[in-house]
Amino acid sequence: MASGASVEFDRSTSTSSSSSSPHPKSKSKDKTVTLTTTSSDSSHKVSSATLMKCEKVTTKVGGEPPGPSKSKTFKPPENWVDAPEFVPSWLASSTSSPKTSASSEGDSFGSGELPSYSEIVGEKIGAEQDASSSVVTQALPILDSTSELCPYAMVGECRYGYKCVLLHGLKCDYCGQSCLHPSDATQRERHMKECVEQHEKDMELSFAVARSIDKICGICYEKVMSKNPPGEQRFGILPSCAHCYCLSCIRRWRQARQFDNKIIRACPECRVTSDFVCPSRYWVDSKEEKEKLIESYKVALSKKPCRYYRNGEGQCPFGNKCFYLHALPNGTVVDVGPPRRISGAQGRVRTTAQTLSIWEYIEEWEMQWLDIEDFMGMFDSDTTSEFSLPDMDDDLDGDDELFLDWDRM
Amino acid sequence: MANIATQRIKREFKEVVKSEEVARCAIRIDLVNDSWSELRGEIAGPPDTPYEGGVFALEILVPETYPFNPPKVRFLTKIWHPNISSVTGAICLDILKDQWAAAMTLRTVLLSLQALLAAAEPDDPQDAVVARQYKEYHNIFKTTAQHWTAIYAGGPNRIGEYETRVTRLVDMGVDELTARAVLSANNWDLERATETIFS
Repeated sequence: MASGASVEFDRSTSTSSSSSSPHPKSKSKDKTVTLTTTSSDSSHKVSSATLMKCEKVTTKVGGEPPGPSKSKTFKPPENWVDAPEFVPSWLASSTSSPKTSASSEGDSFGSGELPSYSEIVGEKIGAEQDASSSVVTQALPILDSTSELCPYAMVGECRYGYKCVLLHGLKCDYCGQSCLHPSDATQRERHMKECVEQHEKDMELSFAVARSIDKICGICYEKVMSKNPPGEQRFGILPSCAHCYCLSCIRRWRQARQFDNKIIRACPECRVTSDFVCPSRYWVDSKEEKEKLIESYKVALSKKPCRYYRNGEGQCPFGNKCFYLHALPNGTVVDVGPPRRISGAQGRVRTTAQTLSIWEYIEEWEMQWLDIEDFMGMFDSDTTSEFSLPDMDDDLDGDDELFLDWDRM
Repeated sequence: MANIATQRIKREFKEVVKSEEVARCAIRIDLVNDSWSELRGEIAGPPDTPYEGGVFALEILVPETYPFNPPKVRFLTKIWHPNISSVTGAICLDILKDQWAAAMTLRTVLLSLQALLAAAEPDDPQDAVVARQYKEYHNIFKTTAQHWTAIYAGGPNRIGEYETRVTRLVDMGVDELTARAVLSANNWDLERATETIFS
């Protein structure tokens, strides 16, 4: 108990903690040896008093807990903390919590020889003069793990320097900010983890930019990332092939009604059919990236209310195959069942040119800012009842689940 | 002309000028005016075909909606080919019509036309008369095509015998082009050609 108390005592007088430089530590060991030998030899009061002082110095500077043999001879002062202690004003607030804990401990010390303030301070100064004051200044910011990090030092420079009442963290190699808590390992770990994650994200982004920057649209022949206005700097990713187009060009191509559906749904370069175009800010090279992108696109679409369904007021010809949200005004998502046939009065004359796919619907909707008028005109000329669906067996079997081809009659 | 079309044609023009096909004189593109909407193309007759040695001029009109619509291309040089009109030079080639793709370029179009000269599609003809000859009298078709190449495209194999018959008709007061066309269409049968013209 006494040894623990002496440690507390040590912390309260000098703010140096147990993690000071090794030099004074070794010094304290030497003195401990002296102490044990002398105490066995003689029991002079004078010598024991000096030893006591010596030990005080050692614990103060080295911070090493005294051995059990010492604790017998050494009785810490009862209420030395009540002495008018010199605490620098810039240190006052940061040392307040250990001081109070020490004072409460100090009461339980019981009786003992009480060194005067000048003794303590004098010894302290004497010891620290050679133990170098840098030990103190180095140790100063190291408080307990709950101490806050100085936000100024974190982002660059704190004008209080080492005198700052807040902790100045260690520099993080990733972000370059002094934001690693010197004594809180979990904080450091957490920060490093965040930093690594951020770093990975940044790397990913720069890779994405690097692989996108020189990509040329196969339709307008311009570098997609250099298109003007910047709003045009978007890629239109085709799920079925790896040819590169800007979003506006590939969408416009897929709107080219003068051609057969098969033609415009195919990649203009390789003629491989893609059911939709996925917008993307960056070019995607790998299969995994592409799948991730397309998945997130579908998720995004599924949150937009369907314009045919109109919150339950209308009917969506694509039924539960529609990629948009079918929900009632109260937010309930409704399964409207499979696509249904809405029969028209006309004869069953089908032409391939009139074929409409759900993906066209999506694409046209997604490009509202371009030529929504054309799109609307297409439907306004007929009534919605003319929307009719083909024989389901023919069109759904063997077809990609994501794709439906509806005939307009 | 819409911006995208002009931009693209300019780029394509550079591409064609730099291409290796130009280097070996297989294709060529020239500007007709400053508008970039009208161009003059040239393709060399492919080797081992009746068109070998000839150079065929093409009119290329770039629509405002290019490249979402194909360029309008026709032969300015007269040519004897099942898929090209011997009268107007109109071309029947799927990629210039419903099989167009926005990623195609003037270069690919010219190369496709060159390929068309090497591989005719008589079952999908532009000129039915030529197509019939191609199928029924293939040797006559070949010499006729050679002859036309020599007369109109600077080819080497001028058939003297054919030209004699043309001269006969010209002597009768028939315009030379008509005379050659009618003789070609009638498998160089002078009698039938005369009949066709004067009946």
